[in-house]
Amino acid sequence: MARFFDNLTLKGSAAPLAASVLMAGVAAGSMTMTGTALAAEPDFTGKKITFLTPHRGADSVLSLKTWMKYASKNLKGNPEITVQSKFGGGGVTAANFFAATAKPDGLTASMLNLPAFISYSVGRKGVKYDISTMKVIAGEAAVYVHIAGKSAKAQDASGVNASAGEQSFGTRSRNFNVMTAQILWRAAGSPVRVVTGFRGNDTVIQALASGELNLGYIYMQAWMRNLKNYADLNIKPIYQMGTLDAAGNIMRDPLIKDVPTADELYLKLKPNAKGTQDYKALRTAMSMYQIAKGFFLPAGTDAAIVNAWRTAVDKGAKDPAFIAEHTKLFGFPLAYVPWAQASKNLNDGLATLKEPYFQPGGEGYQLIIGTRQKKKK
Amino acid sequence: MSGARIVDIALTVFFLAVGVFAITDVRDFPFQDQLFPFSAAGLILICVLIYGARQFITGPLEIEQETGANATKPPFTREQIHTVIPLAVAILVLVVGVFIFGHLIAVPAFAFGYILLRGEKLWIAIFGAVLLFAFIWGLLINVMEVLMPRPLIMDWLGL
Amino acid sequence: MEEALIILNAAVSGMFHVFSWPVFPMMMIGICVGMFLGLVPGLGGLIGFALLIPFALAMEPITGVAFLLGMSAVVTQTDTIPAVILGVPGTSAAMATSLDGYPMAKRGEAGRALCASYYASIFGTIVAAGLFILLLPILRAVIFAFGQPEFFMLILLGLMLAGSLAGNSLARGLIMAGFGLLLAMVTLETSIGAPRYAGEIIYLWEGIPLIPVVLGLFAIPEVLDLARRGTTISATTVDTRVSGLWAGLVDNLKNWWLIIRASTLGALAGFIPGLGGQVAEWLAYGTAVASDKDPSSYGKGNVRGVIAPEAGTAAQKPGALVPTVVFGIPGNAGMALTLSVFLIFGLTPGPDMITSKLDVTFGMIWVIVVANIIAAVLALVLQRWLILICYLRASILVPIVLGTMLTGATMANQSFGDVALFLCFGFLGYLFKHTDWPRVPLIMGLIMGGLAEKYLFLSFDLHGATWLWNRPLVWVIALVIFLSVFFPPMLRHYRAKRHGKAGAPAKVSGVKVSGYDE
Repeated sequence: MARFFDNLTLKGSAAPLAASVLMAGVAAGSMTMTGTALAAEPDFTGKKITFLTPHRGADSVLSLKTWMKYASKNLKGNPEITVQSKFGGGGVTAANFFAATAKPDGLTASMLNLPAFISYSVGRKGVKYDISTMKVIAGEAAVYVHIAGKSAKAQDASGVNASAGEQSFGTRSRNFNVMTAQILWRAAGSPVRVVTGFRGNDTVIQALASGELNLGYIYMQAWMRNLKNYADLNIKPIYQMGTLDAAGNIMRDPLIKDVPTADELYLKLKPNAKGTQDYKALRTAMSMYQIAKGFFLPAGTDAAIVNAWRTAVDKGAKDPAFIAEHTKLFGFPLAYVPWAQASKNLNDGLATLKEPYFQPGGEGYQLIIGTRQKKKK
Repeated sequence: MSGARIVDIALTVFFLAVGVFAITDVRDFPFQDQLFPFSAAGLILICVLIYGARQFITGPLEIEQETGANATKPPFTREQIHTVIPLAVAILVLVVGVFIFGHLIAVPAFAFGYILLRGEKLWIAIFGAVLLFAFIWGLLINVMEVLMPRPLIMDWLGL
Repeated sequence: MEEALIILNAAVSGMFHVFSWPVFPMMMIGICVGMFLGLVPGLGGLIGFALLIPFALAMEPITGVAFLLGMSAVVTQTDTIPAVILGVPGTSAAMATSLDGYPMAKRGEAGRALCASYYASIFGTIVAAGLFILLLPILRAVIFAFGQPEFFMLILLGLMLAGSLAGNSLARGLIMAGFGLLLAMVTLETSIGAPRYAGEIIYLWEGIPLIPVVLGLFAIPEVLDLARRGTTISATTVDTRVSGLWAGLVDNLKNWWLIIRASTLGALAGFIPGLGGQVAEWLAYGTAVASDKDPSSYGKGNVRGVIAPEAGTAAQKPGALVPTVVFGIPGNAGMALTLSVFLIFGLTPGPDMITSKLDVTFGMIWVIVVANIIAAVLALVLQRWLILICYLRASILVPIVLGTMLTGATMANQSFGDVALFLCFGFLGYLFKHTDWPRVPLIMGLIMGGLAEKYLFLSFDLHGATWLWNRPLVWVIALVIFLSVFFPPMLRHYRAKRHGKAGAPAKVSGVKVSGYDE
């Protein structure tokens, strides 16, 4: 029996990330108390708050629930915050629902995800929300690692060159990771062949391990937790999408500091390409992943309420007890991005996505949405 | 012509329309997105044509003998339709009620009304309604924190 | 010999974990929650995980794992109860069971059908555990021998078996299968990222959810007919609540070979990420039908039609556990959640799980087996009262069942779109039922259509056309398709001809599964 328990001991291996995220939070987080600090603090005593999320996965919901438990402690009156899933339409359903029903009273907040930002920016049909008018209260980053299976010719960053030849890159559907891979490998002289239709990360890993797929990508935390296992399956990291440092710059994630970022690798391949559209697109992708999840209050919410929320989620995210609990639950701390940084990344990203390159007909649109437009009738 | 046969023909026409729509609607997609829809719609159209032609050529009797269309005593006779329509209306009332008032109110209210109208005792109707209310409010909304769809009345009342 | 001893030792050690304190009592609580979730149509294992994970995380790792696995292992056992008693498959994994279980209930054999399903679940998990032991030395080779082409061929096997469930009229069966396939084509995830058949209806962007369709197609017609008859579900007044216990066991023992085949298919479907319980169930059911001497008896209350899908679904659970714990590749959505919990507990998947930590893996498999046995016993105790539903007046049963179904259907996307789908397919289901358009091929098309499309194009994208001739497993599965789908009816036709009783070919191969005859 003792042996069994030994096998199930808890692991807390992500302390460096916690530190880095905390550092990243400090600078921008300090901004939360400026501006409307003199306004009366809203009182939520006896109120019930609903926090919407477009995700239905238990860990995503649990992560938000845990965070909100700590955020509640920092809202006056310690209101009960209930996290509810409103899934569907790749995040558009939740965003539409939030825009249509939430009142600017601070009692309804929502997480919106990257697909919802993209749908909004490219003017997808069915979008009935305006992100530019919503109030950002925080963000959460997603760090991705691009990986190679045993059949890939490139087994690390040095293998990203013209001799790699055409390789398959597996994904469920097109997104910024796919765009990054296409731009990077094109620059290396070995364009990848994007294979869509995988049902999820698990099926991509299976295909990489069996050797029928060459390349893919994975959420960094999942990578770290399965490090030994993936090594056994001959799956190796090539480059990463990076994480934010304290100054808001994208850098190598401390947990995989030997793995270069996509833009580092790109500049190594093309040293003078900083001003090019490809480089800009690559940086946009990396920047948008730093706000893969945005947390919002409705448009028109009073500044005092917005400020109270920003302060509450910021304090909650930095609470050592929360960091410890989140780390215990998931093996890593929340990749928290303070509202000011999140807002900057979001605004910059949305502005870039409004450029013709990412609009229907542009190359960027084809890279992140689909290979080509629907045929003209 | 029997009621079942009319429904059968209506369904055949419905599937014909589905097949035609399915092909028309994916014309502008690339091959990869067309193959399965075309195959499925093609299968439907071919089978509908064969089935329809057989009905026309061999007549309804043989078809019904083969498929047993009338074997299950379908409720499409005049007398039987009279018993089905009120029930269908009841289901429609339930659904419309759910849209307007939400599950929490409409479902228990429907159970209460239905049981009472069917001549059961008042306590049974109350028991049924309470049971469903407890299921939706207690288990789904409170324990599982399920976000039930927002009823229209909340929009109408500006809530 | 030494390796066998190590495996045996790990197996015994794993069994001790299951019965240790407080693992066993917490597993019992998980089982009770799972049984309830299975009973209520529309709920199910995924909702159970969302509900229980916060509690599990507060426990010791082994206890938490047993708590969650106990819950998820038995959901598919109690979902048989509404499927058999009411004719309403509460989860997509109980549809095949309801095809023969409900007609049995109508003739007063609900007890026998339910008991047969419980025993089949138990035997299914035991066979899967046995397979795990047998395949242990070559597990890695087995799992990674399967690629996208093999997945496609397995789905093709399922679709072909759907053909054998086409009903008396092959044309109608194929039309319904085509309709199901078209429904599965509704998606936003096309190669150009434009919605196909979904237009601007955001609700449809992630495809048509299965549960409102299944509940609409099966529940509304049954409820309407029950209300119209105004009687009880059971046509007989004979109480079979106790007699089923023995009859169900005998049925299982008589069909031991079917159980082994169905369980093997189920475990195999479990090994493969993304296939899930419903594919396992239909593969098993289709095999039972295709290999039977009298396929026309299915859909009318053939107990083999209850045993095969239950054994297949049950075997899928330990099957899906293996790639999850050994390679970190979850076999289904439930296992994906389980995996995240394993990781939270610091239980890292990897090859260690079948070497140095083999006892842990065995512990988990035994939890599934033991949970199924306990759930069967509890269900047998409960059954005495649950079967009374069959004898409840329609005026009471109809609104409660209808309200529960409608609410359950809404759990798919928690949207009014679910309600609308439930109503539309309820209307269609009623027409289908009473004009003998078989509903099962529609469901199979819906379940497997999207998978077939994805795996076919993945096969071509990754292997070109070469997978058609240079992958031996593809040929093996093709042979299985021939032997299980085409060969049996050919053999029957030949035998019938020899005995001078040749009938119409369509009738020979067809199975009437529109079911639920009055």
